Amino acid sequence: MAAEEKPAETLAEAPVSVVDSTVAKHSVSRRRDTAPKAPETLLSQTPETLVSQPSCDTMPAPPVDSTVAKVVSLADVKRKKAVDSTVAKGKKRSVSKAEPAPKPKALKGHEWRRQGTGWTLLRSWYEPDETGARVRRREYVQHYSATALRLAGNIRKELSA
Amino acid sequence: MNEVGKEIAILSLGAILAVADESIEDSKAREQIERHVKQVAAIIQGKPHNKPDAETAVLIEKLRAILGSSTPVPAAA
Repeated sequence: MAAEEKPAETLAEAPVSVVDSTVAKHSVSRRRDTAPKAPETLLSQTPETLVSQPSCDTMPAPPVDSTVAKVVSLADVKRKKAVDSTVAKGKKRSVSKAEPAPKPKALKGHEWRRQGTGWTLLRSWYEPDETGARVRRREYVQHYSATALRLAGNIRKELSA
Repeated sequence: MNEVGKEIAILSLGAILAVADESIEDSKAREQIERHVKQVAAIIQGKPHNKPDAETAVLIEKLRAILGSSTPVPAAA
């Protein structure tokens, strides 16, 4: 009943209130910049005033990116909600991903295998099996993180300088 | 120590520094560890001009005792 009694102007503004109240300030300001006011003004006008308006040929064309602006604002709302929920759960936001370390210097009788951002060192050798064929064997030596490899490189540089 | 052993030793020292960098909040302690590590790295790489100081030499002796190493350590500077 209350909705029926609302004037035409408030009904015309109904789609604007879809945006979440927490970010309404931000998204409304963006919409003011980019979105056209043409649909709201058309809805608030009476048929008589619409007839008296100039034809479509003389009217300025509305900006094309009006729907894009709405989509962007909704995307912003979703992103903000996701961030808020992460903060509420106490999860740590990752600032930036660590850069993967370049492959370390090859070592005789050893292999390097990438693991995460670091490298794992494996000792490899061949030994004959029951049939006499050579079988490659590998043994884990150590995992070196990207930080460890970078610091080892720094030590080496300082000593060689 | 052959080349592979030296390289692995340097990499392991890098790992020690990485742990110190991440876990030790006291900056003075971190700097001290860094100094010891660099001096040990110099010994591993056989740099005669980079001899360990008295404190590092003691630490190396302790490590050698733990590891049961018999390789002589360069004299302290």
